[in-house]
Amino acid sequence: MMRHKIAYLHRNNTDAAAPDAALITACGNGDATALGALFDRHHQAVYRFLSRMSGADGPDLDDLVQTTFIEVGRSASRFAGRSSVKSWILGIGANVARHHIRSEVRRKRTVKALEAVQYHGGETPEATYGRQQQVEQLTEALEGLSHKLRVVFVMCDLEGISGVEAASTLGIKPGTLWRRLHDARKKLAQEIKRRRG
Amino acid sequence: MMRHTTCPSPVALTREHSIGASAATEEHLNHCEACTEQWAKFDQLLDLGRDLPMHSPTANKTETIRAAVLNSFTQSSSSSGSFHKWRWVIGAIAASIIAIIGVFYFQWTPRSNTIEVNDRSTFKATVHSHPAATLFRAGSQPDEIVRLTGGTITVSVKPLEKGERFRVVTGDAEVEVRGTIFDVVVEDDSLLEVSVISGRVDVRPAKGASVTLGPGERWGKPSQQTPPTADPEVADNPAPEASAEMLDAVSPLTAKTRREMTQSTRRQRGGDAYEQIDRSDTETDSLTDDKADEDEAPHPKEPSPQVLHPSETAFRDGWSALKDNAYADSIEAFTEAINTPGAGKIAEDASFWRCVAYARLGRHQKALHALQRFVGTYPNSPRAGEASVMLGWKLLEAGDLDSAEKHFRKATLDKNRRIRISAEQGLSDITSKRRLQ
Repeated sequence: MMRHKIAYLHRNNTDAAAPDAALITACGNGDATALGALFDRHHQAVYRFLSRMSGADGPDLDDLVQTTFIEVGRSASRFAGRSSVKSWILGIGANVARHHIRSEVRRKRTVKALEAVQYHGGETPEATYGRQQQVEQLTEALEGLSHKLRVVFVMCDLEGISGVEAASTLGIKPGTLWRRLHDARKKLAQEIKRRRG
Repeated sequence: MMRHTTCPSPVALTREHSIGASAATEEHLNHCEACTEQWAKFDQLLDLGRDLPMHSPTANKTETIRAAVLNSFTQSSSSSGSFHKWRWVIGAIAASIIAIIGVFYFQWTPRSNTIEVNDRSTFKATVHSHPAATLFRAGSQPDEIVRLTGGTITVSVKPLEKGERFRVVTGDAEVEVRGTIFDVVVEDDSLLEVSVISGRVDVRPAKGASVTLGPGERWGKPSQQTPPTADPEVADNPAPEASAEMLDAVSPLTAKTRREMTQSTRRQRGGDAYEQIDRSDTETDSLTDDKADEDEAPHPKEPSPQVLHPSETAFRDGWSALKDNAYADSIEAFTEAINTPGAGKIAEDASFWRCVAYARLGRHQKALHALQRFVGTYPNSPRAGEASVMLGWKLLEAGDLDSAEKHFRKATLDKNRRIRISAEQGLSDITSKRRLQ
């Protein structure tokens, strides 16, 4: 039985690492074109990451993405190359999300999740409801996590960033990251179980 | 092959799961049921994580954000770029000047320190922060937001153009203005007080009624607080008088229903506060209007207590029960809401959610009939597309391909992309089934 790490969604594109580094350097020297290129390359990842980190959508999410890239432009000269540019940008996004208006977003999301009744071919509506409920439970459980646990879960388990790189981005030791990831998974599982009753 | 004789620690297992199992762990997992079970739970959790909602911007929105980012970057670069080499010298000089000013400021200015938030042309508000106020900018024009978590601020807003907004948001309320000067007091992220100096302000607490304040008027937090409920959804569900936008974000009711409910409740009460809300819906504020308002010398007002129509009470009960997976109770409450005289648009929403409750309860025939009744009775409902696609799948399940196709086709016109996708999938399934027949 082979148990390899599941390639979740979007993995880091190592081929793009060098151009990214060059872009961030140019950006640090005031090159707006470089920032534009970084935006084009990473804005979708930032959208995805921030929506999961903050639960935001619509204009709230747009604001968070905009703030993140503005901060990327401001901080580009401080990029030290300890992690990939994408991880570094997501690290900035994590800080932006931390300061986001959590209560307002939670209010919006709670009902939207309940209203979003989705149907997929091949599944009965009831099965879809069951799956949808589980996703809602995970979403709510994720929002209940502390920032430091949520960020490692989203980075490592959802975005597929390696633990070492995520640790470097977050400025923590790898051992700390693994412990946090374990705590995050454990709490999420417990919370989902509790919600299922 | 070497393998762990004892189980790895939970943290080590997490690490292995994340980076990929080593040969030793592979071997161990082949012999340890407990670790294999834990591993499978990790897989399930991450598999579920793949279905978490993801949001992507539209091409237009992406361009707008991109332009805003580059504009901000260019502005900051142009102001600092030419002095790049001298930035440390300039920084040291600036720091010295700030320190000197700071000394004079704190020595000679007794109070009322001011923080100018409108440092860019995209901000129309000047926010004067009183001592110890904590705030940050959470959005710029056309939807300018100041997030205030504590302390007092005085806000002066230039007259806004059509489509522009300015709001102060706290943990439990929002205050929206049009060309106004006003004070906001917040403690522990909770709105305590709003005092209007000129113009008009809408105060929308998450719990309780919203109110429009004129010049000289003040809103204070009611001393009697509603006990918190165990259900966060109920706790967050504001009164019908709250703004349509705020309710759009939190209520299972459609916006149209809420508007009708709000108007109906206003008519029933006929209170001054609601009269003000009606005026604010139609008037455009200006300094001239403000002057006229000042002459009226209005009195401070407090929000009125919330009175719900029986149909809404029943609807809320149904909604809570649905959320608690108590589907039978939910059906009963929604039925009561539908049958309550004067339910109006509430009945429409209750009818929809009763369909959902039937489906979740596993009463497929009931769900099917309820959905047929809903799409027949409310063909123009905002939820008609959603109901149609649900009905389509139910009919497909029952083998009625022609009827299912009809409802899927209707749902393909819905504005919600997810519903359209689901409907297209349903049509595709029907085509496949017909080929097999």
